[in-house]
Amino acid sequence: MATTTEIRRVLYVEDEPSIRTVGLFALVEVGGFTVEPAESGAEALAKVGPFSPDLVLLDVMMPGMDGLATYKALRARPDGAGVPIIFMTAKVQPHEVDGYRQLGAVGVIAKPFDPVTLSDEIRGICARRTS
Amino acid sequence: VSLALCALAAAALGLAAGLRLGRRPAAAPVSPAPAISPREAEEVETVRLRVKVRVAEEERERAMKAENLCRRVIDTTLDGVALLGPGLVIEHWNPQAAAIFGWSKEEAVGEPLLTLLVAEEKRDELRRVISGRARPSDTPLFSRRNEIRGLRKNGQEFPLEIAVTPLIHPGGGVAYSVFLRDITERKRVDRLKNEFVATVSHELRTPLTAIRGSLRLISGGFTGELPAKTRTMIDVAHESCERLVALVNDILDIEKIESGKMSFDLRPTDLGELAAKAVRSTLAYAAPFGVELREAVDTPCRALADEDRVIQVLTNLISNAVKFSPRGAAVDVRTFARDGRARIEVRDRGAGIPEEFRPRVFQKFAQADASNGRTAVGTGLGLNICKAIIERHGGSIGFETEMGRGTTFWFELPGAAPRAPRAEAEERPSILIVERDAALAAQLSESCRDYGFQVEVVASAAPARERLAAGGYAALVLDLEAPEVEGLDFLRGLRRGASAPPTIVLSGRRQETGRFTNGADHAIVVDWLNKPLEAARFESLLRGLAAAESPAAA
Repeated sequence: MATTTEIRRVLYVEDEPSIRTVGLFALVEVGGFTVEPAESGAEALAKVGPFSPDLVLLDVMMPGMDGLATYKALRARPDGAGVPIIFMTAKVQPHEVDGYRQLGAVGVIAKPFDPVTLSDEIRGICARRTS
Repeated sequence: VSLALCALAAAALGLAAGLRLGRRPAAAPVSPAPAISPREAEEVETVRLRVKVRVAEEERERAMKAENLCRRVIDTTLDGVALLGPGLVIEHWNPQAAAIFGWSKEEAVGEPLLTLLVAEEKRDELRRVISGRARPSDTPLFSRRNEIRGLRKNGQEFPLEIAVTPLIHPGGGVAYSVFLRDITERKRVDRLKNEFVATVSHELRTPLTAIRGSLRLISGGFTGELPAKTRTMIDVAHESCERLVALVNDILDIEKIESGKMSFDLRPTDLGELAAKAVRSTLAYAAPFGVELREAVDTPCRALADEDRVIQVLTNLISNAVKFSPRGAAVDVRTFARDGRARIEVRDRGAGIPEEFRPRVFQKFAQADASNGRTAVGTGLGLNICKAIIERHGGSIGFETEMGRGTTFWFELPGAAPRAPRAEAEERPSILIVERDAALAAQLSESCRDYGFQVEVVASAAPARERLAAGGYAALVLDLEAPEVEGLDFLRGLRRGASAPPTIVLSGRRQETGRFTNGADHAIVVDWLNKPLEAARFESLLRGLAAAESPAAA
């Protein structure tokens, strides 16, 4: 089973450029992750194979292929099936969070996220999962 | 002659007018009347009578005109108007009322129709309130505008504003004027406005998130050291951004609540625990104000609550209390049961709320200045949101304040709902509790209510005997230490009567168990519990009783 120290490579899927910039900074500069950004679900599917991430950070509200559709498409592919996925969403009502978990996501991070603590939050979620 | 007649007629008119006003006719100056023949006198009398009749006719005509005018005003008003006579029968029904509801004047007049005009769930309440049998929980109706769901003849529901005012009926008894307004359009405009606000707020949220994130990274030093002047300006931007984010979130919360989109996950919840959690999460906020937070649970109480939302309310009330407290003062958070409801109070020792501000406390964008010169920081929406959340729980919220002494905000939530809800409270089986310890009584009552029972609590044996004699209880919970119970004698007395229900005995003295069960009269005792209360066992007994009482089991 993977341990937290092995989470190095993050595929970060976020359609909103300003948020993506802040998120990238938080993950790379604050968190020290190696990050590949993707602007859409389609781009995420194209990059998951070549980049081979340890984790996918997936925005839920995206035009076109949204987070849930992207999740299902990733799970259906051999190169995306085993990668842990964390959703990022502004909808954090408890039953919705339960819904994402039941779907098989390792966790849910509420938006707006705090860029200073984002990486710790990700590591925390992954640690709880492997403990 | 005709001239004289005219003069006399004029005098008679004056006389009639004088009489009508209740005045005596002027006595002087009157010229001496010329002598007239009996025939002339008869003619004068005839004219006088005719004039009198005409005056009366004119008066009646005037009254009719006035009444017609009133009726025309009522019939042409754009509101529906109904007049209810004694027996709540509709006596007048204007065309607009007919247009709103689809019931014609012919169909409506003479019928006790009013309760048919509102959606079913409000009908009984309306009937109770109008006939003067309102329950404390019913919304007051008279002499104010109420919004309820109306019902048209074709079965369609719509938002209805109704104002009912009692009048003295001309024929004696009480009548009611009823003004009815179809507010579908107003509601639609309201909704459009709310949707617009929500859309704008949502659109603001994305750029705000990016701004806040960037500022947070810069002020956190992640982009490198900042020159002092730059840091000051960045801190200002960061703080203002936080306020803007809070405002946008509050506006979105309000929109969600008002449009019914905020879902509430109601579960039986320990309110004392919620209060403790809220206090813990506010400690860091209170520290810079030098305010101490104290938390106490007087009676453990449970209520149906959405944990996150109630914590949101508590956090809001506590941080308000902190904000308005003088340095070094304490804020007290108390949880207790009152009249079968769970209550939390948040008390500060601040300056109190000025009289003129009190009516606006729960309104949107209402903000008082903190008395200690600090400008109150907040969105002005917090208490409005609190009120909406508590009301969605079926609870109530309010405050008591005294200038110079402080303010206590409180809210109450209904106790946990019965697990097997029954339609009519009157049909729910009752449990009689004999317990003098109020806290234990509250705990026992709460559990009984949880399982769908009505509860009556008495403190001693005498009232217990009276009630049991009346019969009808599903169970008796008896504390042997209650006054006048005198150990087992009370139970034995019950056994001899016919009305003894299944009984759960509470005792602080374990050894009595053996003595009692050796007796021949254990038939009515379901179980024997020790104190402190074995709550789990008590609940499992209740579960059994509830199953026995439920219609499904029959």
